[in-house]
Amino acid sequence: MSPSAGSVIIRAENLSVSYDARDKAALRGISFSVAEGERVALIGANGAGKSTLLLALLGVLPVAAGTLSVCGVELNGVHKDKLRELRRRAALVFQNPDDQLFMPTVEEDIAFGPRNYGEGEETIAAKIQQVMEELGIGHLRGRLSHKLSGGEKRLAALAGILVMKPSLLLLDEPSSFLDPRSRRRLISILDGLTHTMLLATHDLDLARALCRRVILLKDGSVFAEGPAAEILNNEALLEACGL
Amino acid sequence: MSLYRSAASIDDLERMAAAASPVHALHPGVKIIVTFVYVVTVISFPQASVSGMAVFVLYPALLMPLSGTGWRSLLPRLCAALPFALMGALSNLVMFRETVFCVGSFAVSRGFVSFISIMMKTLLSVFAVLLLIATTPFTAISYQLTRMGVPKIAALQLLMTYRYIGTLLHEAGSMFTAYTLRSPVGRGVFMRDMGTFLGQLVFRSFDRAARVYAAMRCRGFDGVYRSAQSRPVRLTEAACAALVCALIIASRFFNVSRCIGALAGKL
Repeated sequence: MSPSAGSVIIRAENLSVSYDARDKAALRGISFSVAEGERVALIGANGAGKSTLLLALLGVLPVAAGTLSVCGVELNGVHKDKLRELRRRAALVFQNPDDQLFMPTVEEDIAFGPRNYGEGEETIAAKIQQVMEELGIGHLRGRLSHKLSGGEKRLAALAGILVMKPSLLLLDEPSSFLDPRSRRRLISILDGLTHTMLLATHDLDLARALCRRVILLKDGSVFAEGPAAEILNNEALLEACGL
Repeated sequence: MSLYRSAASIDDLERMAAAASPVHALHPGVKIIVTFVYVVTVISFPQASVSGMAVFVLYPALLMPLSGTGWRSLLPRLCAALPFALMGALSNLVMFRETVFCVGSFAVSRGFVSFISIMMKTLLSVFAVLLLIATTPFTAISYQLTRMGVPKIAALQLLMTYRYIGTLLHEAGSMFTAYTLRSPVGRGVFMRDMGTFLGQLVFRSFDRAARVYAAMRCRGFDGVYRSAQSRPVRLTEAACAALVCALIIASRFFNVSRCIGALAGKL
């Protein structure tokens, strides 16, 4: 189920990524692509390289070998200005919302991204209002961000990303730290979004609920790729990958 | 005070700063300037001039009710500065023993006057800064500092430190709880484990800081902190600040306490 060439939003060919030049590559020989509007689940056991791949897609970790293109930006030896532009078009919701919620209040945190891109205060206020209404978190506006519950933090972190209107949404373990009700709410919210989505998770039910295509990682390499129904129902394959 | 309570204490300050009052509504720049003038003036008093400083107590005494920040919330934080002031001031008691004046049969030494002076300077200055933080969001202070010409990197450093203190305390609190729950006595960290404990705390904090920084970069952060731009200073605010600063500076050169005393003596 490969996307058509004209609509490709992520293209990785033989990609290798390492945290340090002296270290063994955390990702090796990764090749895959994601088309515009697609929702793809990136699954794998702990340490398979899911989070590393997401960081590499935003240029936080450099490409060691191979080629990587995200939202039309080639990440091999990319210039700083191009990276800023890429991070406007593609945004990542971190696994632990505490890592992402940086500003004192929820409202200020949501405004953090747009302010960095020099948007006017009136535009920012309107966007914040809109995204808070969409996610149903208007009541959190003035709350201290580190005092929220796990579910509220997750939604506040998502709001801080959606407010930048990215075309590609990267989500790292979005269902972690959530109780069943918050998890159901998050799935319903994500299901309502029209963004291209790459969702790193080992929550197979979440992947099943949201994605049609799955990329299975094992030890930093793509082990299997295909329709969600096919991969997620193959118990032997999942077992082999520690899932 | 436990680590969690220390973290909660920072939260309280942020909550206070988000409240609404006439003092909160003032332009952050105005508050920073007045606080700066107040602190510099208080510090500039000579060691022997205790009576001259007495009138400066009026500043926190008036600002607290106006801003709705109570003694209960600020006093414990003020006490945190006491040990440092005491350490600096106590040596004066020993070093300068000559009598400067007597109150009845009690001889007051130069060291004692100096001791009181150092304590007053420290407490008044810390109180003024606490009032500034309790009535102004720290992000607004940081932004105003850069507008006033403080290098961006210094203001950012200040803001980051303030934000990371909470993170560090929460991290240390979690580690401490996990440790005490598995230690046979449960009364804190043994000295033999202290090195490992602190080492782990440093590594964990470093990792956490790296993740926070990565998250910031992913949202377009390029080393320049951009806070909400504040409105321009109103004419009334500028006039009010000028008047307060003038009063503060005048009180430095004109001993109000002595005048009141002299007036009371005549009456």
